[in-house]
Amino acid sequence: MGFRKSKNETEKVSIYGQILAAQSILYVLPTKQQLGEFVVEALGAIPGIKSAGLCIEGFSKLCKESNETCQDCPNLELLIAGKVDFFCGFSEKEGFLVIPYGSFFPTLWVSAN
Amino acid sequence: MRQQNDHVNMGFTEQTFPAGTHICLIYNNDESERESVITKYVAAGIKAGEKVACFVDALSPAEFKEKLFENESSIFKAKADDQLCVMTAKEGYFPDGKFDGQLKIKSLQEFYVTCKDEGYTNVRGSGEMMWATRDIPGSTQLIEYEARLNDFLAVCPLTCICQYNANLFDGATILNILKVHPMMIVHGQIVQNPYYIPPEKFLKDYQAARN
Repeated sequence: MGFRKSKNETEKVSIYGQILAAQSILYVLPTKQQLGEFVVEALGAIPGIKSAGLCIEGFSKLCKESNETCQDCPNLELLIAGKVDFFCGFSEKEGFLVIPYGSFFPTLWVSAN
Repeated sequence: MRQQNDHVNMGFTEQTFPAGTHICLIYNNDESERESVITKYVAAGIKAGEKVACFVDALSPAEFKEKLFENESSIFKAKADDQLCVMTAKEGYFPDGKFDGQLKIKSLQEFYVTCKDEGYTNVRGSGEMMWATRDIPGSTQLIEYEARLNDFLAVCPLTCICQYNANLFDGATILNILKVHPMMIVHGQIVQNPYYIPPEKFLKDYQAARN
Protein backbone atom coordinates (compact mmCIF):
# COMPACT_ATOMS: atom_id res chain seq x y z
CA MET A 1 0.00 0.00 0.00
CA GLY A 2 1.26 3.47 -0.77
CA PHE A 3 0.42 6.71 -2.45
CA ARG A 4 2.16 5.86 -5.70
CA LYS A 5 -0.31 4.87 -8.41
CA SER A 6 0.29 1.74 -10.44
CA LYS A 7 0.67 2.06 -14.21
CA ASN A 8 -2.82 0.65 -14.63
CA GLU A 9 -4.31 3.20 -12.21
CA THR A 10 -2.44 6.04 -13.90
CA GLU A 11 -3.82 4.92 -17.26
CA LYS A 12 -7.36 4.79 -15.84
CA VAL A 13 -7.03 8.32 -14.43
CA SER A 14 -5.73 9.49 -17.80
CA ILE A 15 -8.74 7.98 -19.58
CA TYR A 16 -11.19 9.58 -17.14
CA GLY A 17 -9.32 12.86 -17.69
CA GLN A 18 -9.66 12.49 -21.44
CA ILE A 19 -13.40 11.88 -21.16
CA LEU A 20 -13.86 14.92 -18.92
CA ALA A 21 -11.71 17.07 -21.22
CA ALA A 22 -13.69 15.86 -24.23
CA GLN A 23 -16.89 17.09 -22.60
CA SER A 24 -15.37 20.57 -22.30
CA ILE A 25 -14.38 20.56 -25.95
CA LEU A 26 -17.82 19.36 -27.12
CA TYR A 27 -19.18 22.66 -25.81
CA VAL A 28 -17.26 24.64 -28.40
CA LEU A 29 -17.74 22.40 -31.44
CA PRO A 30 -20.48 24.09 -33.45
CA THR A 31 -21.66 21.42 -35.90
CA LYS A 32 -22.73 17.79 -35.68
CA GLN A 33 -20.04 16.88 -38.18
CA GLN A 34 -17.24 18.44 -36.10
CA LEU A 35 -18.68 16.93 -32.94
CA GLY A 36 -18.88 13.48 -34.57
CA GLU A 37 -15.34 13.66 -35.97
CA PHE A 38 -13.97 14.68 -32.59
CA VAL A 39 -15.88 12.07 -30.56
CA VAL A 40 -14.93 9.22 -32.88
CA GLU A 41 -11.24 10.15 -32.96
CA ALA A 42 -11.23 10.72 -29.19
CA LEU A 43 -12.84 7.33 -28.52
CA GLY A 44 -10.46 5.65 -30.96
CA ALA A 45 -7.51 7.10 -29.02
CA ILE A 46 -8.50 5.38 -25.75
CA PRO A 47 -6.25 2.39 -24.95
CA GLY A 48 -8.05 -0.90 -25.65
CA ILE A 49 -10.36 0.51 -28.30
CA LYS A 50 -9.47 -0.67 -31.79
CA SER A 51 -12.00 1.38 -33.65
CA ALA A 52 -15.03 3.50 -32.95
CA GLY A 53 -18.05 4.76 -34.81
CA LEU A 54 -20.82 7.19 -34.15
CA CYS A 55 -24.23 7.91 -35.64
CA ILE A 56 -25.94 11.11 -34.78
CA GLU A 57 -29.14 12.30 -36.38
CA GLY A 58 -28.26 12.19 -40.03
CA PHE A 59 -24.53 11.92 -39.58
CA SER A 60 -22.40 8.81 -39.40
CA LYS A 61 -18.67 8.59 -38.83
CA LEU A 62 -16.26 5.73 -38.30
CA CYS A 63 -12.68 5.74 -37.10
CA LYS A 64 -10.19 5.54 -39.98
CA GLU A 65 -8.74 2.28 -38.71
CA SER A 66 -12.05 0.47 -39.07
CA ASN A 67 -12.79 -1.75 -42.05
CA GLU A 68 -16.47 -1.65 -41.23
CA THR A 69 -18.81 0.76 -42.89
CA CYS A 70 -22.16 2.32 -42.07
CA GLN A 71 -22.77 3.55 -45.60
CA ASP A 72 -25.35 0.90 -46.48
CA CYS A 73 -27.00 0.73 -43.08
CA PRO A 74 -30.80 0.90 -43.59
CA ASN A 75 -31.26 1.92 -39.97
CA LEU A 76 -29.61 5.26 -40.61
CA GLU A 77 -32.85 6.34 -42.27
CA LEU A 78 -34.70 5.54 -39.03
CA LEU A 79 -32.19 7.57 -37.11
CA ILE A 80 -32.57 10.47 -39.48
CA ALA A 81 -36.33 10.22 -39.09
CA GLY A 82 -35.91 10.36 -35.30
CA LYS A 83 -37.33 6.88 -34.62
CA VAL A 84 -36.47 5.80 -31.10
CA ASP A 85 -36.31 2.08 -31.91
CA PHE A 86 -33.17 2.52 -33.94
CA PHE A 87 -31.05 -0.60 -34.02
CA CYS A 88 -27.34 -0.73 -34.76
CA GLY A 89 -26.08 -3.78 -36.65
CA PHE A 90 -22.76 -3.62 -34.82
CA SER A 91 -24.48 -4.76 -31.62
CA GLU A 92 -24.72 -8.31 -33.06
CA LYS A 93 -21.01 -8.51 -33.83
CA GLU A 94 -18.57 -10.08 -31.43
CA GLY A 95 -16.29 -7.65 -29.62
CA PHE A 96 -18.47 -4.62 -30.35
CA LEU A 97 -20.19 -2.50 -27.77
CA VAL A 98 -23.08 -0.28 -28.81
CA ILE A 99 -24.04 2.52 -26.46
CA PRO A 100 -27.20 4.56 -26.90
CA TYR A 101 -26.42 8.00 -25.61
CA GLY A 102 -28.95 10.66 -24.65
CA SER A 103 -28.00 14.13 -25.82
CA PHE A 104 -29.42 17.40 -27.09
CA PHE A 105 -30.00 15.55 -30.33
CA PRO A 106 -32.70 12.82 -30.52
CA THR A 107 -30.33 9.84 -30.34
CA LEU A 108 -26.62 9.33 -30.33
CA TRP A 109 -25.13 5.88 -30.88
CA VAL A 110 -21.57 4.91 -30.27
CA SER A 111 -20.10 1.58 -31.22
CA ALA A 112 -16.66 0.44 -30.35
CA ASN A 113 -14.73 -2.80 -30.35
CA MET B 1 19.01 28.45 -21.40
CA ARG B 2 16.00 27.46 -19.27
CA GLN B 3 15.82 28.99 -15.81
CA GLN B 4 14.38 26.68 -13.19
CA ASN B 5 11.44 27.66 -10.97
CA ASP B 6 10.68 30.64 -13.14
CA HIS B 7 6.92 30.95 -12.86
CA VAL B 8 4.82 33.54 -14.65
CA ASN B 9 1.45 35.13 -13.96
CA MET B 10 -1.04 34.51 -16.77
CA GLY B 11 -3.32 37.38 -15.77
CA PHE B 12 -6.66 35.54 -16.08
CA THR B 13 -6.07 32.94 -13.37
CA GLU B 14 -4.51 33.19 -9.92
CA GLN B 15 -2.21 30.23 -10.47
CA THR B 16 1.28 30.83 -11.81
CA PHE B 17 2.87 28.52 -14.36
CA PRO B 18 6.44 27.72 -15.42
CA ALA B 19 7.81 29.98 -18.14
CA GLY B 20 7.61 28.13 -21.43
CA THR B 21 4.17 26.63 -20.78
CA HIS B 22 2.50 25.76 -24.09
CA ILE B 23 -1.26 26.23 -23.92
CA CYS B 24 -4.11 25.92 -26.40
CA LEU B 25 -7.27 27.95 -26.28
CA ILE B 26 -10.06 26.36 -28.31
CA TYR B 27 -12.96 28.76 -28.61
CA ASN B 28 -16.14 29.13 -30.61
CA ASN B 29 -17.80 32.29 -31.85
CA ASP B 30 -17.87 33.76 -28.36
CA GLU B 31 -15.13 36.29 -29.01
CA SER B 32 -15.66 38.00 -25.66
CA GLU B 33 -14.22 35.07 -23.66
CA ARG B 34 -11.22 34.80 -25.99
CA GLU B 35 -10.57 38.55 -25.90
CA SER B 36 -10.84 38.60 -22.13
CA VAL B 37 -8.29 35.78 -21.72
CA ILE B 38 -5.82 37.16 -24.25
CA THR B 39 -5.93 40.81 -23.19
CA LYS B 40 -5.43 39.83 -19.52
CA TYR B 41 -2.58 37.49 -20.52
CA VAL B 42 -0.85 40.19 -22.58
CA ALA B 43 -1.41 42.88 -19.94
CA ALA B 44 0.01 40.61 -17.20
CA GLY B 45 3.14 40.09 -19.30
CA ILE B 46 3.63 43.82 -19.80
CA LYS B 47 3.07 44.55 -16.11
CA ALA B 48 5.60 41.85 -15.18
CA GLY B 49 8.22 43.46 -17.42
CA GLU B 50 8.20 40.67 -20.01
CA LYS B 51 8.56 40.97 -23.77
CA VAL B 52 5.24 40.10 -25.40
CA ALA B 53 4.56 39.13 -29.01
CA CYS B 54 1.07 38.76 -30.50
CA PHE B 55 0.06 37.49 -33.91
CA VAL B 56 -3.46 38.74 -34.53
CA ASP B 57 -6.01 37.90 -37.18
CA ALA B 58 -9.60 38.71 -36.16
CA LEU B 59 -8.56 42.27 -35.36
CA SER B 60 -5.85 44.45 -36.91
CA PRO B 61 -2.81 45.20 -34.73
CA ALA B 62 -4.16 48.72 -34.14
CA GLU B 63 -7.61 47.41 -33.12
CA PHE B 64 -6.02 44.82 -30.83
CA LYS B 65 -3.96 47.52 -29.07
CA GLU B 66 -7.07 49.67 -28.71
CA LYS B 67 -8.86 46.77 -26.95
CA LEU B 68 -5.82 46.13 -24.79
CA PHE B 69 -5.46 49.76 -23.73
CA GLU B 70 -9.10 50.14 -22.65
CA ASN B 71 -9.05 51.00 -18.94
CA GLU B 72 -5.26 50.91 -18.74
CA SER B 73 -3.05 53.75 -17.46
CA SER B 74 -0.68 55.91 -19.48
CA ILE B 75 2.20 54.21 -17.63
CA PHE B 76 0.98 50.87 -18.95
CA LYS B 77 0.76 52.28 -22.49
CA ALA B 78 4.30 53.63 -22.26
CA LYS B 79 5.57 50.23 -21.09
CA ALA B 80 3.66 48.54 -23.90
CA ASP B 81 5.36 50.77 -26.47
CA ASP B 82 8.66 49.10 -25.54
CA GLN B 83 7.57 45.62 -24.57
CA LEU B 84 4.69 44.75 -26.88
CA CYS B 85 5.11 43.60 -30.44
CA VAL B 86 1.83 43.08 -32.34
CA MET B 87 1.79 41.90 -35.91
CA THR B 88 -0.62 40.20 -38.26
CA ALA B 89 -0.77 36.41 -38.50
CA LYS B 90 0.62 36.73 -42.03
CA GLU B 91 3.65 38.68 -40.80
CA GLY B 92 4.12 36.21 -37.97
CA TYR B 93 3.54 32.85 -39.64
CA PHE B 94 3.88 33.16 -43.40
CA PRO B 95 5.59 36.46 -44.25
CA ASP B 96 6.64 35.17 -47.69
CA GLY B 97 3.24 33.65 -48.42
CA LYS B 98 4.29 30.15 -47.32
CA PHE B 99 4.37 28.63 -43.83
CA ASP B 100 7.53 26.78 -42.88
CA GLY B 101 7.42 25.25 -39.40
CA GLN B 102 11.18 24.92 -39.04
CA LEU B 103 11.76 28.53 -40.11
CA LYS B 104 9.10 29.70 -37.69
CA ILE B 105 10.76 27.89 -34.80
CA LYS B 106 14.11 29.35 -35.86
CA SER B 107 12.63 32.86 -35.89
CA LEU B 108 11.10 32.27 -32.45
CA GLN B 109 14.49 31.16 -31.18
CA GLU B 110 16.13 34.32 -32.56
CA PHE B 111 13.37 36.43 -31.02
CA TYR B 112 13.79 34.71 -27.65
CA VAL B 113 17.59 35.10 -27.63
CA THR B 114 17.34 38.78 -28.64
CA CYS B 115 14.83 39.44 -25.84
CA LYS B 116 17.09 37.77 -23.28
CA ASP B 117 20.06 39.78 -24.58
CA GLU B 118 17.98 42.92 -24.13
CA GLY B 119 17.54 41.97 -20.47
CA TYR B 120 13.98 40.67 -20.41
CA THR B 121 13.45 38.10 -17.67
CA ASN B 122 10.71 36.31 -19.56
CA VAL B 123 9.10 36.26 -22.96
CA ARG B 124 5.51 35.37 -23.84
CA GLY B 125 3.47 35.22 -26.98
CA SER B 126 0.13 34.35 -28.45
CA GLY B 127 -1.12 33.63 -31.92
CA GLU B 128 -4.45 33.23 -33.67
CA MET B 129 -4.24 30.14 -35.84
CA MET B 130 -7.20 30.52 -38.18
CA TRP B 131 -4.86 31.39 -41.06
CA ALA B 132 -4.14 27.64 -41.22
CA THR B 133 -7.62 27.00 -42.64
CA ARG B 134 -7.07 29.31 -45.64
CA ASP B 135 -5.04 26.92 -47.81
CA ILE B 136 -1.83 28.84 -47.20
CA PRO B 137 1.05 26.80 -48.71
CA GLY B 138 2.75 24.85 -45.94
CA SER B 139 -0.22 25.10 -43.57
CA THR B 140 -0.46 21.29 -43.48
CA GLN B 141 2.73 21.44 -41.35
CA LEU B 142 0.79 23.12 -38.55
CA ILE B 143 0.30 20.10 -36.27
CA GLU B 144 3.90 18.94 -36.71
CA TYR B 145 5.10 22.49 -36.01
CA GLU B 146 3.03 22.62 -32.81
CA ALA B 147 4.45 19.25 -31.70
CA ARG B 148 8.06 20.32 -32.39
CA LEU B 149 7.43 23.59 -30.57
CA ASN B 150 7.35 21.61 -27.31
CA ASP B 151 10.98 20.55 -27.80
CA PHE B 152 11.93 24.15 -28.57
CA LEU B 153 10.10 25.49 -25.49
CA ALA B 154 11.96 23.04 -23.27
CA VAL B 155 15.16 24.87 -24.24
CA CYS B 156 13.83 28.40 -24.81
CA PRO B 157 10.95 28.82 -22.35
CA LEU B 158 8.77 31.23 -24.27
CA THR B 159 5.30 31.03 -22.73
CA CYS B 160 2.63 30.79 -25.40
CA ILE B 161 -1.10 30.51 -25.97
CA CYS B 162 -2.21 29.21 -29.36
CA GLN B 163 -5.75 30.27 -30.23
CA TYR B 164 -7.94 27.95 -32.31
CA ASN B 165 -11.40 28.84 -33.55
CA ALA B 166 -13.42 25.61 -33.31
CA ASN B 167 -15.73 26.82 -36.08
CA LEU B 168 -12.94 26.57 -38.62
CA PHE B 169 -11.22 23.26 -37.84
CA ASP B 170 -12.65 19.77 -38.28
CA GLY B 171 -13.14 17.56 -35.22
CA ALA B 172 -10.19 15.25 -35.97
CA THR B 173 -7.85 18.26 -36.27
CA ILE B 174 -9.16 19.62 -32.96
CA LEU B 175 -8.15 16.33 -31.32
CA ASN B 176 -4.68 16.56 -32.89
CA ILE B 177 -4.39 20.14 -31.63
CA LEU B 178 -5.09 18.83 -28.13
CA LYS B 179 -2.47 16.10 -28.52
CA VAL B 180 0.32 18.65 -29.06
CA HIS B 181 -0.45 21.13 -26.26
CA PRO B 182 0.50 20.07 -22.71
CA MET B 183 -1.96 22.52 -21.20
CA MET B 184 -5.39 23.74 -22.24
CA ILE B 185 -7.76 26.50 -21.23
CA VAL B 186 -11.17 25.26 -20.06
CA HIS B 187 -13.75 27.79 -18.93
CA GLY B 188 -11.06 30.39 -18.29
CA GLN B 189 -8.79 28.08 -16.29
CA ILE B 190 -5.52 26.48 -17.35
CA VAL B 191 -5.62 22.73 -16.85
CA GLN B 192 -3.30 19.88 -17.67
CA ASN B 193 -4.33 18.38 -20.99
CA PRO B 194 -4.94 14.62 -20.68
CA TYR B 195 -4.72 14.22 -24.47
CA TYR B 196 -1.16 15.54 -24.67
CA ILE B 197 1.40 13.20 -26.21
CA PRO B 198 5.14 14.04 -26.01
CA PRO B 199 6.45 15.20 -29.42
CA GLU B 200 8.66 12.21 -30.20
CA LYS B 201 5.83 9.69 -29.78
CA PHE B 202 3.21 11.95 -31.33
CA LEU B 203 5.26 12.66 -34.45
CA LYS B 204 6.04 8.98 -34.95
CA ASP B 205 2.32 8.04 -34.81
CA TYR B 206 1.20 11.11 -36.78
CA GLN B 207 3.65 10.58 -39.62
CA ALA B 208 2.83 6.86 -39.76
CA ALA B 209 -0.88 7.64 -39.99
CA ARG B 210 -0.30 10.13 -42.81
CA ASN B 211 1.83 7.75 -44.90
